[in-house]
Amino acid sequence: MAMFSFMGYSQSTVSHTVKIIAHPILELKFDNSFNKTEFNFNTVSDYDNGKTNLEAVGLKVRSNKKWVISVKAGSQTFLSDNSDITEILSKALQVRKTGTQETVAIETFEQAIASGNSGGFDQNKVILDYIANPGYIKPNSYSIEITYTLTTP
Amino acid sequence: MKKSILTSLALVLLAFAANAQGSSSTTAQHTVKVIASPVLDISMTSPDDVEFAFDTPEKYEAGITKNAATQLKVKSTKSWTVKASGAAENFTSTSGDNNTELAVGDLEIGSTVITTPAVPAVLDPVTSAIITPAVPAVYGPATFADLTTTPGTTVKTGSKGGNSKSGNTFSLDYKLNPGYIAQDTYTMVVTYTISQD
Repeated sequence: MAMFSFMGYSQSTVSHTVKIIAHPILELKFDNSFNKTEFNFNTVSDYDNGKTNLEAVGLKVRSNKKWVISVKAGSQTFLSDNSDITEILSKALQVRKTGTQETVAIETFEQAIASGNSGGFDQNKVILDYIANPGYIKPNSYSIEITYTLTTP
Repeated sequence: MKKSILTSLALVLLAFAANAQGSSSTTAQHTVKVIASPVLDISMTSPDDVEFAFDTPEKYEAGITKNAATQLKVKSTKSWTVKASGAAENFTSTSGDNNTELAVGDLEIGSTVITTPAVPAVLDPVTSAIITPAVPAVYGPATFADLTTTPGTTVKTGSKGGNSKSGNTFSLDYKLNPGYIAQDTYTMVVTYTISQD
């Protein structure tokens, strides 16, 4: 009788390591569908009461950390057409999150106005109202640079 | 004298006759036995760690798919099933602060689908030989399943045979779309286990 036996080396498991490297993401953009940054003071009521532009500014954030948006003015006063400083202080312009009551008078130092959690642009949208109340200012065209800064706490 | 010669002759003839009947045979047989013990073997031909780098917002938005992330080979004397399992419920973060950020099921595994587009043969202008240009493989959409812990997720089944048996050498795609996970490095040991049906 002849016998043949077939037995071999075998292994039933194999393994390797899956590695995920999550880099920091922090990005702030304007939402250009919201853009009402101009005020026209035409009536006595406008000068008496100031004017509000609802949904004046839209911002969107994508981040993989919690975040904070701050706002500040580029100068202590509004500038006239010929870039002269004026008596109109930056804090004549106020900002608030649309749908809320709490306002922030814009100064030359950063002030937090919104915060949120990690996520993409679709999850992190901030819409702001502008309120301008400069009082009875001389007829002219005035402007001021406003900067929004995104940071992580 | 004549009688003794005849007797001797008869005795000799009888002796030949006796010998012929007792020792002649035209066949011989025995039993050959084959003992085939079960064989079940899996090997990974791409054991390098698989790395996903989420370094742009677009990757966080869309996720990352790695085609043919790993290749496995099977030898088996019976039909078989391969399962993939993760070592823990969550990926381990290097910092230790984000050990619940990425779950084992965020990693999806699917059998690689390759579609090689048909390319017409052309005439080589130098040799005048008819050649078929090589084209890169086109990966088709795989069907993904979430990775789980032991006993694991079935990723492939097949028939008995060696590595060259159709279906016994195969690749797997990995897909990860975890959203905006916290900045860190995350790892998970993935194990492939074969069993016979």
